[in-house]
Amino acid sequence: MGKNRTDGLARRDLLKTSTALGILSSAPLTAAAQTSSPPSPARATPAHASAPIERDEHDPDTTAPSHVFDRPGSDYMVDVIKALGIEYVAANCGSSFRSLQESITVYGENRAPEYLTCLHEEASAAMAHGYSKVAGKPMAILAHNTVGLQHASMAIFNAYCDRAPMLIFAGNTLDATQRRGGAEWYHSDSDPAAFIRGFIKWDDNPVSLAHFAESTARAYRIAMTAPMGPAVISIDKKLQEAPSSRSGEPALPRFPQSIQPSADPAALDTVARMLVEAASPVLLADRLTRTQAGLNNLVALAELLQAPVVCPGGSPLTFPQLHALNQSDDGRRVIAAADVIVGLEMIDLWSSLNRLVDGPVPQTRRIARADAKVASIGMADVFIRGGAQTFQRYQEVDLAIAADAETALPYLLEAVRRRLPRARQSSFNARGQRFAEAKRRRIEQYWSDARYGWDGSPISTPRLAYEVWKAIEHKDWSLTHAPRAFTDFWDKRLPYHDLGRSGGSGVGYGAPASVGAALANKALGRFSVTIQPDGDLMFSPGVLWTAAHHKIPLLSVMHNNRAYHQEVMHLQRMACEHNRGIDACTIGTTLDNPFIDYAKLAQSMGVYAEGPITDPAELPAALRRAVAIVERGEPALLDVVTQPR
Amino acid sequence: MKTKLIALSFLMSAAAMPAAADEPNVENGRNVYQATGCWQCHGYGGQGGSVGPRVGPSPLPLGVFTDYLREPTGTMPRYSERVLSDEDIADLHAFLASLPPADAGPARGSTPPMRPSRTR
Repeated sequence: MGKNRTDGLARRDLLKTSTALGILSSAPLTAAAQTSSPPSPARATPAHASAPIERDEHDPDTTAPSHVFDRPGSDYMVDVIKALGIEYVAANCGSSFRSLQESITVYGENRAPEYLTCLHEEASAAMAHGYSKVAGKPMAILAHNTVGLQHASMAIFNAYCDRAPMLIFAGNTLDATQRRGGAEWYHSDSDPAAFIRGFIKWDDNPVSLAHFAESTARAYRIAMTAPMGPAVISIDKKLQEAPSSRSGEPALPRFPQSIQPSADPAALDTVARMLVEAASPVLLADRLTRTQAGLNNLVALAELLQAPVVCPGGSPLTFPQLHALNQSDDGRRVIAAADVIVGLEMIDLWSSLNRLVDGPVPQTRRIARADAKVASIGMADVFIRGGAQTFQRYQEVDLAIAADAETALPYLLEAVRRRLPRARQSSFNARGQRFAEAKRRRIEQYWSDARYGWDGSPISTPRLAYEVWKAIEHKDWSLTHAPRAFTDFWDKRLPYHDLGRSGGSGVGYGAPASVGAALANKALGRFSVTIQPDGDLMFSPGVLWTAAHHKIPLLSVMHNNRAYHQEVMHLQRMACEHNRGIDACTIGTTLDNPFIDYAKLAQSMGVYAEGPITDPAELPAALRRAVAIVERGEPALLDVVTQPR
Repeated sequence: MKTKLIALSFLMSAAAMPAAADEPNVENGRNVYQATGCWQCHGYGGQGGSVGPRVGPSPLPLGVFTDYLREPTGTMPRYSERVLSDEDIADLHAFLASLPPADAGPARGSTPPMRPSRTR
């Protein structure tokens, strides 16, 4: 990207030239503009531009007083955003935030925050979602209040479900007498965040710059306090565009550092006693770890007890994937045998302890023992809003501790250490050995089963996962997104080795969230890779252009199965239940006739791409070429035609 | 005499017909596998995937296989006789049994191993 000219001369040149072109009216210029130097020859004034402007007194655009001034309110907004350490704002440009956009790119010199050009607001929000999982802090997005927020709403919902912080600045014109005709009315709302309030943490509608500063700092703190999530600040057009002056502006907010809520020590001691005294304890962990320290603490707790850990799919990595005590791939059996179950930031504890068997009359089956003691530590009970059913079915527990489990974990670990009976250590170790042996067998079985169809076409999903693994295993890599279970046998050890899935299961998350995560990984020198489903990509394919434009290195390997296969099975189930032929289940669920050429799609937007690749023997070389492109700092896409799932 | 021979020949053919029908038809089994969308979870080659297990080339015994299709215990749809006849299931079973054996697969030692648990 070219560097913006933000020095006084550039601004003065613009003013001078603009005046000469008749763009600006005869309103008084600032001192800086009045002392500007003559225009350069390259900016010679067209002859016709010297003619006086004919004013139409019935046209409000030409009769309204015009202003030229040095400091709009939006410059102060940029200072506030900078004070909060926001590095990026993602946006599809819109007139309701035109002043803030100009202030970010010119006054703010387009650095921290840098403006990211997005082709759809859903991509803006999903990029912010993915970025937060790596950076551990929010990205901001800009959107028109009504039409922009509606576009963004799906990705905001995903972020809310996934507990991802995000700052959303929504352009609005609250004063009805100040709205231009037409679109500006449609883009205004008297209650700007009303239609997304069910899945954001907080919103406000500031009416002064002081109010903006306080509310933005408050929004940041709320977004970053567990359970994290999106917060919305409406940015009024008048507030952005009206003149301001440094001397009259409020002080900038201090950076709002948040310490997450921990648990009552006595309650943690009770949980420690339950775990130590149990014959078969199990730790369930969902949205538990945000940091390496959190993951390390869970490993230490599990190893201290030699207790199995089960992580329901979807969260970023909470426990090393191939660790002997990671029993997620046999979770139901492990839970069924447990006498003490401790849930850590479980979003859906019920579905781990029970299951609902799908059918015309769904049936409930208990998985956990009826006499199993259950405790939970997490923020789920303070996470419930409005109508969005993000809280899942109610699960009775013996002890519910409302606290941020990652923050409470070191204290739980210490309480377990204090209570650990040395006499039982050998039985604990024997327990661990049993789980290790079971895990080892399952890993062997997986790779043994993977041999079937290994050389077949379309390419099997284990073969795809294996070849991608071999291409990245010696790098400092980060898996930004992948379909469920694809990479369960990768050696994921660090939190960024798997950033989890969307949270709300809203299709269209994978591609833009991966670009956002890759942006954050780029600053850390990490190699970003995603297994990209075809259906997901088509929700916001324009994000490929954003990746190319901003030179965001990301390896996208398509899981192109040419259908929405999960939905195929739902239709099969319905057809079987309705006791009739199931040969029409591909109608509306398959992406064929014609096939989509994802390589050409990516190439059209400046992304290096190859494919469609149908022969697994061609994969390693194609991956080597694509990896080289990504290591050069650019995105690359391989369209790989695969088995369905 | 000629009439008797024709009649006998017809009877012999008729007697042979059930035996021929009992022979499972692998090609029809392949069509059934495609038409009923088994590949959706179990892969185009029956090799299994991230959702469904491998179903070939050594499927469950035909009786168990049929019972499971009629009354599955997992997330698989329930296939009634009207949707999938016993004959089609037998053909499907034969098709799965005819699938090729495993390939060589990943090179030995090239897949990531288990990480041991540290003990005190």
